[in-house]
Amino acid sequence: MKLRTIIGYGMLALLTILYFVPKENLYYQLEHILQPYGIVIHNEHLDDKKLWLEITQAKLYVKKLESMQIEKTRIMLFGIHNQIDLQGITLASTLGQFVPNKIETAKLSHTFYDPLNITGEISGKFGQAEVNFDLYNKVFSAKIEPSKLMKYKFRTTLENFTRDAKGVYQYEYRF
Amino acid sequence: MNIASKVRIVAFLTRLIVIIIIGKVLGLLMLWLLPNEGIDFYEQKRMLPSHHPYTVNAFIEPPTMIKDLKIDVESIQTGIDTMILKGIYRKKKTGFVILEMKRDPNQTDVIGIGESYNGYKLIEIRPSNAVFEKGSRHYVLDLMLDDLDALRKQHAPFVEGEPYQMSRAEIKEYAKNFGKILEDISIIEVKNRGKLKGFKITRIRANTPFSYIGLRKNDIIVKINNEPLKSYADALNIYQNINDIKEIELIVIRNNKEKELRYEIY
Repeated sequence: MKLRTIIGYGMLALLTILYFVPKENLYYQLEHILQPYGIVIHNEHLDDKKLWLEITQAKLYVKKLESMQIEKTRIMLFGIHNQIDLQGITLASTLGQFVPNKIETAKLSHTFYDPLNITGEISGKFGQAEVNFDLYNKVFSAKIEPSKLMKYKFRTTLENFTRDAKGVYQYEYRF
Repeated sequence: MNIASKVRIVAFLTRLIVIIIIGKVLGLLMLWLLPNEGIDFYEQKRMLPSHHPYTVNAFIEPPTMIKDLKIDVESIQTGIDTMILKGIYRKKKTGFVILEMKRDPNQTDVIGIGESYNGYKLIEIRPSNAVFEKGSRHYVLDLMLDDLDALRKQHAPFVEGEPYQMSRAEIKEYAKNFGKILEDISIIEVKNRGKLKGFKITRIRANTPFSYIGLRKNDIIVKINNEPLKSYADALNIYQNINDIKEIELIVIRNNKEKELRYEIY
């Protein structure tokens, strides 16, 4: 009974903190953290939905180059489970030469019980991908199941990945 | 309601208020500590004037005197050379052409035989040009060569020290298709003490536009229009703005010597 009360009050405290946390300012802090890496988010509209933050029409610049436009982003920080949902991603024309430029959804999540990994799922015209950021070893890895369009029209891009027996393409990058 | 349950409700409400106050205080503390403004991207405009290469000849040769200069405003605005013939549809005695003005490439018009465009009446459609009439004079407008293969046949040989004439249509064709560039030329980055020094050409496909413009395998491109290539962004900025550039000057390192290659886009 006592444990249930403690958990109940704990959840209540978490929700209260989540409600009062200045999410827009937290987001500005994230922008300041990303800036030294050459990542700038521009032209976005922020909307504090009290339990999460919604960002619309964001343009992402990497090293001064417009890389993508994201229609809608939802950032949910629940402490034990944090998630970023992205919808309607359009890659810049330069990147569109290497992969189909429309990505429908992308989901990145970080959980309390696996603090050293950020996992994600991406789906778009290129196919499906499972990504993982290993924060300890500083390795980004992706497993890609390419679509027919990707296989035939963007074959040269796939040649840069290693392919396993199941036809899944793998990519690794150390950051 | 007995006293015990009243005490329990009061205790719960007290704890709830305490939690809300703590949450609010934490929120205010974070508001005080976190930045109030984000980072925005502002495109850095070039502070340097647009690039104009100067040659010694330009200083030695006397300027040409212009006598009796008369400007015909109408011919500047609507002359036949301000029009581009984009397409032809021809069927025995009927047919139409697709025209656009050079000053407004996004606006195209379809004109049939007998119809007028900017005062020029279309009187005949031929396989590769169209004949217009204005004031009892005939004007022939050639079909614009959009086809890259057709353009390739027109390449003049590259002459050392002379600016090379490049067609804007050809550049536009490449600008639309980045993959085509990668097919025709391969470059790799060259670094010096961790900093990007330029881009080395490792392959040029034969009989492609890149093979005619004086570039050679193992050339290292270090500057474009007097601006050093310090990052991929510098190179891609040129690529993205290529449609607005009238002259290109490349500085390449060939056999450990700097070499200048100049191009004029017509």
